[in-house]
Amino acid sequence: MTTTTLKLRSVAEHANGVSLTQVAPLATWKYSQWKVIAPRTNSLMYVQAISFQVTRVTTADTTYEVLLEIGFGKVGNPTLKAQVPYSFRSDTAVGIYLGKTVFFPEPFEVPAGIDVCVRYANSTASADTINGIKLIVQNDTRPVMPNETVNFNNYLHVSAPEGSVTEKTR
Amino acid sequence: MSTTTDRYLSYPAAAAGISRASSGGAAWTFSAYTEVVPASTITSTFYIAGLTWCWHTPLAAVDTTYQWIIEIATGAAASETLIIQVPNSVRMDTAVGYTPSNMVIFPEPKEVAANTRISVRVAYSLATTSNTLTGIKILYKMT
Repeated sequence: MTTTTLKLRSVAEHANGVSLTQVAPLATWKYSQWKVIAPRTNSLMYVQAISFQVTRVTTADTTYEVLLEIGFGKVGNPTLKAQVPYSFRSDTAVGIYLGKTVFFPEPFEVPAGIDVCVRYANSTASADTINGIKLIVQNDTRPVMPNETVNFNNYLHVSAPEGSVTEKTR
Repeated sequence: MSTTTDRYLSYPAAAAGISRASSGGAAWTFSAYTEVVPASTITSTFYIAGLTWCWHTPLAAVDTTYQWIIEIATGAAASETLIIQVPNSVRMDTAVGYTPSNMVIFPEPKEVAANTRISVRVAYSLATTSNTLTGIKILYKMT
């Protein structure tokens, strides 16, 4: 954070984070679909961390592993930018599944005007859900949040957790 | 990470992490090394940015502190050179509950030459029992 104008912000902020679920046919280490987490950023920003919560109640005494991925670009074909490995074990289903926030040692840059997407894979063939996925970013202006409509260089951008649409307005 | 071309990646990625059993001998005796990244796999300079793993099996005895050290090394088998030590510990009152994973992010990623083999070994504070860490993966940065 080189200047005092940059702020650490949550994307999404006062709203639910993105949820990801595997879809049939299920398989181990099969990826979910990509979802937009930071649609069409309206200025350059830096991703500093990702926060998430795994809802899986695991088989006792079995290591459960997850791989979260962050990509740049449209949900149909983003470019991989970061992978976050995660795992846990349980002896019983009793207990509290805490959220996890992973900070990168150095933030990575997101150019203005592109979508940031996330997806995940896990070590079991099950339709698990990861909830509350949010980014912590450095930015000096408020980033576009999921489900917002903004104008950007004469383009109207309508975002949603499932994807986004952009059309030229003039 | 000043450019938009750098990436953070996991190894292994969409595959099970590495398992490493402690020696089961005397306290703080190191295990053998287990390979995490084979030689000639990451073919350009990379930077180890973090380590993740899942706590050991079998479960820890209650009210007992288990202290571990995980060592990350470079080089061929039997010629490993230590580059990173990760200390940690766990203690529990009951076996009920779940065991959160560990993700240790290094303040400055450690540079590693292209094609280098990476391996890990472990030692822990208790004797007599062999315990296994699972899900061991590295987070690394590269262009």
